[in-house]
Amino acid sequence: MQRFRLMKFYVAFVLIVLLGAIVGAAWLVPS
Amino acid sequence: VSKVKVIHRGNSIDSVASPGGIAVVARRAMDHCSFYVKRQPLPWFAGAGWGALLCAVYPLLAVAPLVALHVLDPDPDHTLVTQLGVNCALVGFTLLSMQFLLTARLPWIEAPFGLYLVLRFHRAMALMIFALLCAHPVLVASGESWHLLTRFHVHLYIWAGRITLLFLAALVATALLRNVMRIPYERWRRMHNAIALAILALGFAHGLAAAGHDLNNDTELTIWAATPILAFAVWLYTHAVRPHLLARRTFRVQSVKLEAPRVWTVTLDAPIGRPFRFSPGQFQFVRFLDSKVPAEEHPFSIASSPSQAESISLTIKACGDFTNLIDRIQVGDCATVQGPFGRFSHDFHSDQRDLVFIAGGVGITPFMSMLRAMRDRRETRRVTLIYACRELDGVLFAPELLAMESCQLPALKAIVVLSQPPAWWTGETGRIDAKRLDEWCGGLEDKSFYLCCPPQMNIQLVRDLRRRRVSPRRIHCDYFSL
Repeated sequence: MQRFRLMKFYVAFVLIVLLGAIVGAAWLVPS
Repeated sequence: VSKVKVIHRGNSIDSVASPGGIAVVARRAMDHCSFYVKRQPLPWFAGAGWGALLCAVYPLLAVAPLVALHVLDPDPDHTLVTQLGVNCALVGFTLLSMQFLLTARLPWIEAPFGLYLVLRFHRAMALMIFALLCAHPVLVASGESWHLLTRFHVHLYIWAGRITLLFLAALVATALLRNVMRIPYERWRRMHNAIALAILALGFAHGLAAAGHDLNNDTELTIWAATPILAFAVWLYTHAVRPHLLARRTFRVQSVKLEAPRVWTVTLDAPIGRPFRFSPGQFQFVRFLDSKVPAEEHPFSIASSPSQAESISLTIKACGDFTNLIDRIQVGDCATVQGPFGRFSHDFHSDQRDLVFIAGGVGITPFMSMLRAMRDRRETRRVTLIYACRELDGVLFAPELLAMESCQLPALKAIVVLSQPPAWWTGETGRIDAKRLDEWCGGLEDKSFYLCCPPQMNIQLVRDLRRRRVSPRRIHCDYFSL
């Protein structure tokens, strides 16, 4: 059970990292 | 000596009539047991440290191509919105490629988490990929031209992208609604694998054509293509190479024994010189070859003790299309065995001393493996086994459990609970809940609960235990299906 709870937090963490990378990379490209 | 052999081969001692007799025979067998089986060390990749490292590497790998391509060659031609759309596609496609690694049942990925958790994570990531890849065309079209979405006559690679998304939608829908759509598991799995490969190929073609002019040199192309090529290599390994390797070291059916109405125990002999190492409570995938049952791969819990690594026994209830045919398996049939998998074992929680096993019907199987291992190793942990069955006929391994309880090897207290008891039954009946568990176990504090029962019972018991403030650390579940 503990692992399932941790997995939910981990999925949220991965989502934040990915969205951060997507937005950050788009933002940092010189236009 | 013969009795020692009988008990240590995991068979029930049916020949002994009375409970007292069972106790005497069992104790004598244990006393004369000349060997004491040590616990096998867990593989290095089953530890928490390796699991934490994998968790740290996963998001880094997912964003690595994006970051590398932006560092190497930032593309100033795109607007912010278009760039966001391109980034969504790049990350989504990298994650999609990594899904092939997640589901490949590689021991060094599965062992720290258990296959059930890995597959749950795979599902969560699939939804994330679907969202990212759906956002991609909308963002790119809003930055470039809505004709990319609406026009029929567009470049072929745009159509490849559209079909990829349609396939992805079909893949997600069939995975979520498999039970509602009543698709048999094996057919769904074959379809799922084929569509996933088609998505990888079409997505690769779409991306290569769309981003080809942006990838200015071989380094950029390599970074972009590395993960899909790795995914394709993993797919080839899991679908072509590994089945071939498994078929070279097949197991052979030693016996098929009727345990109870519609329940069989199939014992498989491992190839000579290649014992099957596992932790009690784990499961493996079995595929019978050249048998009268379909050559489909199915997961089954191991019921035997790991101390008999030269053979494994699987106790299977006839309750599905495949398992209804189990009685057709014959002695001498060959089978491939892939595993072991899962973390539903007291071996992974050596600090927990007071165990409560809750089994529903054929869910007793992994517990038999754990109890037999504890007996063979002379473990001193206390175990309360709550065994719920519909009818008395369905109670499996009763003589062996009685023998264990009588001689306290392991320190077992077994309680059988029947929901449809015979008229003369004086034992426990009805539904199991936390209040009754409290009574049977003498309090819930410091107990660790292991549940292997039908889904509804599992959900209700977990809810009950959590309401009673049992820590999730001390609740372990095994599931009837993946």
